[in-house]
Amino acid sequence: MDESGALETTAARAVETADRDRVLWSDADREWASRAAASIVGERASADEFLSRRAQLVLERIGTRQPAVTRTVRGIRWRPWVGVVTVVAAFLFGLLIDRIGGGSSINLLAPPVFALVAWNLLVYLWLLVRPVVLGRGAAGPVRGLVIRVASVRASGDTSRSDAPTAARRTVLAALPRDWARVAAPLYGARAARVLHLAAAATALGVIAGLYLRGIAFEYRASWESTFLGAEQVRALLAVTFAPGSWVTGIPVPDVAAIEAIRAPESENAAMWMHLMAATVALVVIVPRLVLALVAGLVERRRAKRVALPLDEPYYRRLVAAWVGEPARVRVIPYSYTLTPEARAGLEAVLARAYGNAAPTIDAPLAWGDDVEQSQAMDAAGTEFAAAGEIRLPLFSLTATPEEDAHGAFLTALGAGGGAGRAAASGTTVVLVDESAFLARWGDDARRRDERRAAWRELLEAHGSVPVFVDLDEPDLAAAEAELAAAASGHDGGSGATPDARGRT
Amino acid sequence: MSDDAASAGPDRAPDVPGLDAGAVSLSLISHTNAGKTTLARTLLGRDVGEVRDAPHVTAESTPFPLVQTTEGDLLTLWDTPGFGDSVRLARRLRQDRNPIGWFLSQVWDRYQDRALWLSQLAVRNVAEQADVVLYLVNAAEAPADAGYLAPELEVLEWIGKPVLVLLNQTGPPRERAAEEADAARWRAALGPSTNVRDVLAFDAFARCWVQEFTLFDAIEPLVPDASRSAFARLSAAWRDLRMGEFDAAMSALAGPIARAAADRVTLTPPSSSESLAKRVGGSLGLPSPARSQARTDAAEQLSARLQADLRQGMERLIAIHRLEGRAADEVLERVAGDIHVDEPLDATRTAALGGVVSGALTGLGADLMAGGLTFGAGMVAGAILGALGGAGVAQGVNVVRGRSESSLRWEEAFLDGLVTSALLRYLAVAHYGRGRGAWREGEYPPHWRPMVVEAVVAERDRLAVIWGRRGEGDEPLRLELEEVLGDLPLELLDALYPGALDDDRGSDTTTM
Repeated sequence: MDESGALETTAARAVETADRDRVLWSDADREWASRAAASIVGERASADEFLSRRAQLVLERIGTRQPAVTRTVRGIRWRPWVGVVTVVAAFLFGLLIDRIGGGSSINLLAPPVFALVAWNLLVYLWLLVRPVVLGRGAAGPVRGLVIRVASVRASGDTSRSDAPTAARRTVLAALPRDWARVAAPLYGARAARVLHLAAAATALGVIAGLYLRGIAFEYRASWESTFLGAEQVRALLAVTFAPGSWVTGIPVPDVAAIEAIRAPESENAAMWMHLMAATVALVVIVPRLVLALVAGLVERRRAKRVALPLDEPYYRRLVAAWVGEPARVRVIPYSYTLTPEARAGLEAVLARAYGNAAPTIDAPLAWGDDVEQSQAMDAAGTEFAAAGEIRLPLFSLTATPEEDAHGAFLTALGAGGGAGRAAASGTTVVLVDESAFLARWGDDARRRDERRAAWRELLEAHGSVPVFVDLDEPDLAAAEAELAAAASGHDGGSGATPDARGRT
Repeated sequence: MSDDAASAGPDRAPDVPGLDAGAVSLSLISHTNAGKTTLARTLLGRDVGEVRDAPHVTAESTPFPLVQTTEGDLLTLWDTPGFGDSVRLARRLRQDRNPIGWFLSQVWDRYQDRALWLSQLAVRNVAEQADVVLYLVNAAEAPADAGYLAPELEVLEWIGKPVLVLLNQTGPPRERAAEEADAARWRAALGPSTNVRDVLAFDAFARCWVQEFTLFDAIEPLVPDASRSAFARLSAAWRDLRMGEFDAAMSALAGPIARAAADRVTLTPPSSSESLAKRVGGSLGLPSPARSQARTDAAEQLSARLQADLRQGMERLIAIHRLEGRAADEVLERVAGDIHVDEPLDATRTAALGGVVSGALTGLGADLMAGGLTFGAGMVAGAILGALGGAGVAQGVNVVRGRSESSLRWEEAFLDGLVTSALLRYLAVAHYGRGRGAWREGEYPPHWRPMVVEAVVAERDRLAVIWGRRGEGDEPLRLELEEVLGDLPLELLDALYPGALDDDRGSDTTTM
């Protein structure tokens, strides 16, 4: 899906998941959008086409009622001028650095060129080690800043507090966060391109400034130093200007010539300026342009194919309803035999959260059994990942979470182990049924919170997110919202500020 | 399971220093976090060990003296670490010809193999110390979901000590049928295990002391023959201890009621006579500005005294049961909440109330069975409202008219209500395990209400006789009340736990 389609789809998702009470966007609206989109794209379209078309319809219709939503979506789009302005500003910045050592004399040992070259070499080194330090695809602080500037958004009015306003506010708050998470790789590449171009522009600006001023002033080259003698200076300059010397064919003068221009002596700086310009072009401008080109290509590819988290319940539900094929949800109870009531509740929760899902509820896995030995896993263990079905481990809150039993099961399920998040599917969602617990200690909230905390601790250590639900009397809306939030890997949006990686 | 496997574990406790010949040891054993330490706290009436909702909190076996006799017999309760990783443990043990010997001789890493290390401590305790194993299960789980059950019982079987299964974590007290069903389910699930002798419901939070008698009766046939007589003595000592607590509790309950019955406040004569409409309005709880201040003050005095007294009684009750915590204020405050002060009885009133008050408690019973009222907090006033609700009159106090002055005192129906609420409070405290933490007033289990009300209604005549002698002061009244209160709760407990109190006062026949 391309960038604008992905943005619209994410926006539609934000509208439909944030508005849980159906204040802005009723069930009828939802169905209409699905129906209309299905009839427009036809049967042979891909799920992406359907979702993106449907999102357009959603935004068109809600835009007429809630202009703020449209404004927000528009505000989040990438503004190309941000890139242009950054590059132009960088060029001007380079142009205006005219402190080149004492007015019209160039101190060979302290020009901005030295700093420029050294800084860029540092950056190249950083680009090499960054994947090791930050992990792949992470944006550094500078890129993060660019991304944030690019998606500046107006804050809504905070004075009123009626239901539609509150609903709108949750939508508007959720959208930038969701989009930041979805578009993080794309924006990373985009920021990289802009910054590489800006670096090249700065270098270009510095050289242009030298030559422009060189037309009207005579620059004199000289050097002075407290510590260094002519030999060391010659060696230093030879190393620094080696690239420029190689390009232009101008040799770096020998020690005697260097000694001759030691301050207060000097000579016309034209030759030195050519050396500098060629060095900067070779060390800064060319590599930066190449890097910008690469980043631009990556960006274009990513902008064409934004990966939406299509295994979230929300998308699965839409696609399943459109295809007419139920989503495949597989619940694996661990050492927990569901009562008929709880089973009915579970089916209701799944139906609500995953549309017309046809859930399979496995026979419970026995406590402490090695998962590899269990038939339930043998049948499915190999095909789980490939089949793309949703696996929901189910525990009972009455059980004490134990690393040796429940933890081992989660590990075997590939629910994390040491790695934490599985990159493709976000986090593993785990259902914890509270019905049996509440039946015994319904009035003891403290006890329940203690037990919940114990479960949360174990599950989070395994990179999973628990969703606590009372299957005897499930609160369907809450369960749906929690499942969606858990699947998308953030805790229901606690108002934390997302960084470029969209982690809250 | 062959018997020679069991020979590895010693079948008699070796001589342990500090334990003399008349010593019996019980080991609390279970899967981790089933509540062993909590149960130990409840039985001991002390906060021992550490309690947290997490696996493997207890990390060592600790002996606690549970009861001693004058003959020097000692009953020790061992709190042990919980089993963990039991399935793999049993699987490993099965591969060995002498599983327990092998397991105990292994050196497990305290940090890397924590679960096995703690299991080893538990096994060692059973093998070396236990005469009888009390195996706790988390009854909140279905037996089928407790996958650790079979392997752990298997391990215990290898050791060869007799095992009693206790259902812990059953939640608040429930109908007998539900409790029985639980026990039956677990019995069925345990199947033909050779060394599990019985399954008892025994919740660390909500057990009642009479269930301890049942527990002791169940343990008795399981102790080694040599210690049998010592255990009988210990069992009797435990019984005496608990019955002593019961008597003290009854006196703590009877005192405030007796004093309330004898209490009266002298009134100045009413200044104005009100119309019937006003009076009925007043008795319906409608605000009556003309109501005499003096009478209101008097009623407030009465209820303030009663309240302070009830609180003190409750504090004593809590202390007697070796609980911590304070009587909750709101419970007692609501006692006085719905009381209406009324005119001295006149002809119209008598006509209106004559039939109602005498039949009050029958009505009360019927009304409460319908479950229209909350017990616990609003019970006292609620009972009165329920009793007299049919006539639309709620009356907690009535006025006794002397020749020169009137005085205010508690209505008899209200006193009956006090008895009812005292019994309910007693049941609540008696079922409150120390392991649950400090005493807190909660909702009473619904099936208690009708039982208590019925019992009080049945004793109505006896109570009426007592109330009839209110003029004699509170001391004789208290003794009479204690007698009634001695019978009532025992009847109730017998209904709740049939057979538990059967061989009361020290005879040693067991019913198995």
